[in-house]
Order: sequence, then C-alpha cells, then structure tokens
Amino acid sequence: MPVRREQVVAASLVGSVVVVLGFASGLGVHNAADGGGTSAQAGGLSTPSSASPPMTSEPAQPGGTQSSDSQYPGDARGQASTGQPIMTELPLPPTGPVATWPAQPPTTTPTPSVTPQPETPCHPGLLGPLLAPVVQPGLPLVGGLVAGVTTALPLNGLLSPLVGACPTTSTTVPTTTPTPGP
Amino acid sequence: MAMGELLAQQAFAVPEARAWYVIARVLDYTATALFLGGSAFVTLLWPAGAGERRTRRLLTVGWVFGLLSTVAGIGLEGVWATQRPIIDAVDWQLLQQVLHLDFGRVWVAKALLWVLAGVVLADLLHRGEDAARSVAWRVGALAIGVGLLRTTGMTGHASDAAEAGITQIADLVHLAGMCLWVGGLAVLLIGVLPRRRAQELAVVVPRYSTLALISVLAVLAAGAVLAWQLVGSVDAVLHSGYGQILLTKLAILLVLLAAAQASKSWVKRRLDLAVVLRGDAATVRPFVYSVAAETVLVLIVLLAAAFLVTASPGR
Repeated sequence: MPVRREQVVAASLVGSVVVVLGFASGLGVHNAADGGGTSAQAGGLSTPSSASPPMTSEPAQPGGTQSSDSQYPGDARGQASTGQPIMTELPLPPTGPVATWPAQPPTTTPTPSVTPQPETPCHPGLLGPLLAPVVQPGLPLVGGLVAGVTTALPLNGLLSPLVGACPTTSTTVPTTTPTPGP
Repeated sequence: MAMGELLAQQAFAVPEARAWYVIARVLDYTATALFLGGSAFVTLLWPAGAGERRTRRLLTVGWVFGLLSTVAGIGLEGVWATQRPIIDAVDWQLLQQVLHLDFGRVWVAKALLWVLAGVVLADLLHRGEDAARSVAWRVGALAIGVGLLRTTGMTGHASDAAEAGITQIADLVHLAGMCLWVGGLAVLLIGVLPRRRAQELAVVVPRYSTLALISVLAVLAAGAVLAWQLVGSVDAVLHSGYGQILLTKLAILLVLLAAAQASKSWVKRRLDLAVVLRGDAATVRPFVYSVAAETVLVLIVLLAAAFLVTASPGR
C-alpha cells in the first residue's frame, strides 16, 4: 500500500508533538544541582514551573541584593498570598535548592577543629620517574630528600611540580555553621 | 451575594499586570476550547461543518487567538512576576529571563504546538469534509490536541500538587472535557443552529447532547479530584481567596448546568417537532437562547478559572 501524503503529514505531526512535549518536560535540560544549569539558573533566577506561587512559604533571602528592577517589591511571603510567581535575581546559597535556604544568614563562627581532609593522590613529580630506575624500592633516600627540600626551602610552589607534593593529613580550618531560623 | 460579584471585586482589586495576565489566560482557554472542541465537534459529529463558512471562521479565530495569547502570555508572565509596566512585556531582556524558566520553556513549546496546529487547520480549510473524515487528519489533530492540553496543564497548580500523577491526569481530563463542551457549544450556536436544516438538527443535536453530558460529567469528576488535591480541606475552601473564587466558579457552574438542562429538555421534547417543521425559527428559538446563555456563562466560568490560575490554593 503506497504511503499517502496526508499519512506522512500525520506521522510528522505526531513525532513533532512528542519532541515538543519532551522539550517542554525539560528532557535534556540539566538542573543547577547537576552543575549544568541554564544561565538563568546559574544567575540565581528562579521560579516555580507554574504561574502560581510556591506552595511552601519562602523565607526572606539572606543578604540578597535587592537592587534589580526585575524582582518583586515585597518579600516572598507577602507575594505568596497574592498568587504571584517567584522570579527574583538573588544569589543562590552555597548549597541546596531554594526550599532549603536557611531563614537567616548563616553565621560564621571560627571554631578551631581538626578536620581530616579528603585524601588526594600523591604525585611524585618529575623526579620520581627519573630516579625510579636508580633507586631501589623501599629505600628512604628519595622520600627523605623530598621532605627535607620542601621543608627547608620556601619554594614549595616551584618545587612541587618537580619533586612532587603530598597534602598534610590534617589541618585546622574554620567551619561555617548555619543557624536555623526561628 | 450577586452572581459574579466576587469576580468583579477581584477584577478591580488586581494589579494591572495581573489583570492583563488574567485576560491572556481567558483568551487562551477560550481559544483552546474553540479550536480543539470545535475540531472535535466537526470530526466526530458534523464533518459537513468543515465546509461551512462560519465554522471555518470560528476554528480560524480560535487558532489565531490561541497562538497570540500564548505568545503574549510569555511576556505577561514576566511583567506580572516583576511588577513592571505592561509595555515591558515586549522587553527582550525580560523575555529572555522568562524563556530560561520552566514556565517559559513550556509556553514556548505550547506556541510551537499552536504553529503545528496551523498545519491541521490549513489541511481542514483546504480539503474540508474530506479532511474531517480522514483517519490521518484525525490522528494529527488528536496529537496536537493532547499536546496543547498537556502543556496547558504543565504550568498550572496541578504541577505543584503532592500527588502529581493523579492531579495531572485529572487536569488533562478537566481541560479536555471543558474543550469538548465549550467548543461544541460554540459550533452548535454559530455553525449549526443558524442553518436550521432539519436533517442536520436531527442528527447533530442529539449526538452533541450525549457528548456534552459525558463531557460535563468528566469535568465535574476531574474538578472534584483537582479541588481535593489542590485545596485539601473544607476550611481552606471557605476561608481562602482561592476557595472563594472556586465557590464562585461552582455557583456559576450550577446556573450553567441549569441552562444545559433546559437545552437537554428541549432536545428531548421539541427537537422532533422542529425537524418536522423543517427548523421552524419560532420552535428552535428557545433552544438558541438556552445555548447562548450557556455560552455566556461558560465565558464567566473561564474567567473564574483564569483567576484560579493566578491565585494561591493556600494549602
């Protein structure tokens, strides 16, 4: 049975609708949490998918700059009652979506604590492969040499590509502790 | 409370940007109902209507306003969200911001579907009754219809509900039932009744009466599911702005159903007489009045639906 033109048109329409619906559903669009957000998301511009306000009342944004002319005049909680969508140019918090933002800005308390750093691979640098044929495995010669040089000379940044550098196993860093809102 | 008083209060109380957005949504709903419901009416009940001038104009008007209101809705969403002057609806920077959001993506897809719907319409206008009777045209029109209804539901409150699957299905059924009912009413009023052809009345009107009954039942059932999912409690219905608009919509719907019952009663009692009298104007006139009343009330219900879209369910 020969294929008629109207059948081709109908099949094309069905295929086009499937593609367009896939596009509308966001297939292939990476969200911001995956690190591949759209430019608007990366810029901190967010809105629910519907024209309705968010179902969860959003707290006031921590330290957001309110100077843009493309944002609501009031706070988000007030807008929720009027049914306006959320489209604000506000900086995204360091972690999490909008719904998980703390109600108050996080307070930074320089609490000394010993935090184990994640282990990073130790690359021996350029000297390692060069000395490997002439140095027997297990001898402390190269390891002691490298440790002595890097400790004695303040040229760690220059020498590390050459002799290699391994991170220390522990360090003291200030931690940021978010304070939950009222 | 007088009928529609609350809606009138809402209309005067809303800011300018929201009012424009509501107008765009009313046009969007009406155009979708005219185009999809009208096309369904033609292909299911009255293929000869594809060659009738007024019906073709009605479908064309539905397509034009559907495309325009969708494109305008993208800019108006941005204006409403940012509380800018209405002229900024065509501001390119603002449009770019909206286009990067979920809403913008869905409405761009919807605009593309309206463009594809132009292919369906052009084929119907070109081939007339042959197109309305062909399986290929029906398949294409069905695909476009499902796509338009789906994209409309993707930006409503249904997309935010807790049980999104059930709510989205209910929303699709609600919209489809509305389109079949309202679009059929419009074609009946503008296309079928003015011709007063006895044979057409005898065939088309009883069929539409059955289709309208099924559509109304689907609208009511799906609407009940949506109300339960979106509002969730009687208290929220009684004490929230969303609930009050919903109650107003239901009140108008009851009046609308009364008019629909009058139409159905005429079909049951007087249609045979009208056919015997070859579409006598005096005999058909009460039916025309009740259908016209239904159509006007439907527009008010769509206005209430547009307000519901822009209001918070307040769960």
